[in-house]
Amino acid sequence: MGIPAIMVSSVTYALRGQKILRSFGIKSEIERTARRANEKSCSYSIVVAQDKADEAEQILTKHGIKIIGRTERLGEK
Amino acid sequence: MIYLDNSATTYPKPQSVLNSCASAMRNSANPGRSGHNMSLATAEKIYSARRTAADFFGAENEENVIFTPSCTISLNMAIKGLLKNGDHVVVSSMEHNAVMRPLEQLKSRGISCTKADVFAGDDDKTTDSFRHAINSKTKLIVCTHASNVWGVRLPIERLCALAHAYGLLFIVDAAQSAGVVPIDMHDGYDVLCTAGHKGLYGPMGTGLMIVSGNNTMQTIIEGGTGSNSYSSEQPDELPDRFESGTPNFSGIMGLKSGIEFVSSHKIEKISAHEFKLMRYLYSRLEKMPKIKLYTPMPDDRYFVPVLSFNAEGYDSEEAAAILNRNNIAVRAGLHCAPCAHEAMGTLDCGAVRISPCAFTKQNDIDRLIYVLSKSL
Repeated sequence: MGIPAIMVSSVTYALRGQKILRSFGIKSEIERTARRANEKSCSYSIVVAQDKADEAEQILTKHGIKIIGRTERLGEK
Repeated sequence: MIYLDNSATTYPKPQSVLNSCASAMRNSANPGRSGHNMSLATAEKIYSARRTAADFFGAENEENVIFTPSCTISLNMAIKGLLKNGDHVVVSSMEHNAVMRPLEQLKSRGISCTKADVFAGDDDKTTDSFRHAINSKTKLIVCTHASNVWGVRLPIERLCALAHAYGLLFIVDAAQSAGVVPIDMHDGYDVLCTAGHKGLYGPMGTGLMIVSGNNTMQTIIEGGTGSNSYSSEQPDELPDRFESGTPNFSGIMGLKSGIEFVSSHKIEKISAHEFKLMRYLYSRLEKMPKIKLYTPMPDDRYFVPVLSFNAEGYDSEEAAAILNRNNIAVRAGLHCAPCAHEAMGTLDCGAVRISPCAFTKQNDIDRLIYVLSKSL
């Protein structure tokens, strides 16, 4: 299983999400979402450590960040 | 040159603004489109500018801040995005063409408007005037926060409360007030439109549209946003919904620095400085028999620091040309606000407008007074 990437709709939400996660002590990176993961869209993903993915998703959802889905970090497959 | 045309655009810009614009030109890639580091770094800087603007105006979140090319574009987007065929709008008698021309164009869709009189110094009477202009078809109140000609300030907190009490939306045009009067989105404005290059000291070609959290505005400009690209429909998410096309990164960085300049120098201090100069000017002008003033001594509760006048026997443009020949930059004519001139009875002659900024010195005003007293 690759490194998880939480998909959001735009770079603004990705940046806000990253800031929120940082305030909870969760490190993350932002990257474009693979087309294979979200072929009907262009979007960005917030990449987090494997053991933080569920917690990160919960935090983001609680703070109003709409999550499109979850994929894996680019280049992992 | 003595520059007293800051209501048109502030000059000079702070050094930090110049530095930010230049740096942005040197180090940037298209933000929100690509995944490489330079693009992401640019997107992060724009996000940071959104945060700066959101903090300054009390916006709910960063995404509620929309960067636009001007206040005029912001107003067009807000007015045309909120109104439907047959709606009625209430505006003030002091509006700029940035409000009046979009509404004129919307007449073809059966959208009508009523002008409410503004009573400088009497907020009760002004609020009543707006109340009486509301009818069963009214959907929206849109008004300037402060007249770009006369400096008359409208009680927007009360007018917004009035709008909401009647179930109406409220748009404020803060082109002349942002940076000299504190404005807080927590007061309930549905949309705040402002220029970035006036009291916020950003570069020309920048503007802001700040929307409340529950906004359902339609778009008037659609296109690439770098998001949801498969769909031919404009995305719903802010700010992408209203930010199609590559953003003016250099301008946005300059605007961020401009807002930081205002924040660090404090609105209250900038405003007090400008009011001191305008009251000084007023006290001298009112003693000059050939000068006609139209407003009372500017009081910061009811005005912003802008002062217009005419000189007996001179067309306003002629008076401005004489000042220009003496290296004093002012603006004359109608200031793109014929309504405001009509309200004051100066539609035929226009007026000469003096507008200071944080960098204006008393010597500048003294020189203006000297030239006026010698030349007119």
